[in-house]
Amino acid sequence: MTDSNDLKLNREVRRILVKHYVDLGRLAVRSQRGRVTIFGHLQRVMGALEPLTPPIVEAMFYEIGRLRLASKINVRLDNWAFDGGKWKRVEKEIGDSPASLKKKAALKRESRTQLKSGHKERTGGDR
Amino acid sequence: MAEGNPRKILSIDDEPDILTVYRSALSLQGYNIETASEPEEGIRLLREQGDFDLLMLDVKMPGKSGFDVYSEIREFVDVPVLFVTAYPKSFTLESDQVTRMWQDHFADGTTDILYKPFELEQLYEKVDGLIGSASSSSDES
Repeated sequence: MTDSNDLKLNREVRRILVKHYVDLGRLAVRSQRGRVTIFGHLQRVMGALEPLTPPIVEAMFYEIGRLRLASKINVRLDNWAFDGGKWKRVEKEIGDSPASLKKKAALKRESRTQLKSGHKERTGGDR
Repeated sequence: MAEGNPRKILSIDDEPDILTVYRSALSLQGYNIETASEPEEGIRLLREQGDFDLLMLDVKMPGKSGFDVYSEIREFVDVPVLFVTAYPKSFTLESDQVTRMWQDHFADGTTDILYKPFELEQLYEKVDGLIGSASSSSDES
């Protein structure tokens, strides 16, 4: 059951996503006892002047991780991965070979683990 | 909302079949759902009842679009809104109306979007994320 603080947190997360012109229809935001989970496809709404860049994505999730009610942030995106301390776009391209798809899948798995520990360092983990 | 009462949702959509799905799916989750198949009917319900916890709004409807309804109801009621549409391209900042809505209203964090077709789980996720479960006691909405 989502409690009042989690609803407030969801709202704050959406505020930040909207500020960055993120297409909310392609993402899901869930908060449970201060733990924020964001998953889906990260992209801006149509007509935005510039696409999302790694520094913008980094700043956006940093801002979400710094929200007062957020104790932890878990991000699972199908088109961005956290690799080597940086966000990278990993969109599937037409004509991807099975080998490169396998490599991208491995990168995604790896990024989930790194993101978890990376954000914990930046946000101080569970507060 | 009084504690113990199920959260109340109004859905405005011109497709009767989808309204049936909403009624069935959201009632199963314990929400109290009312529906309107015409924008004007939905606006009237909002004006008369005014105690809805969530408005689910189709974008493309004959006569008055979901965006028109959204702009109109914001003048007299403050309610979280979930846009449900099969046309993601409707949300383009090339439209002055969408840009205004995005900056003036989406920016407060109480609006979300769900694209059709969707799994029921995605619908529940969005509704729960905006207003909580059917019987949540919260002052958020």
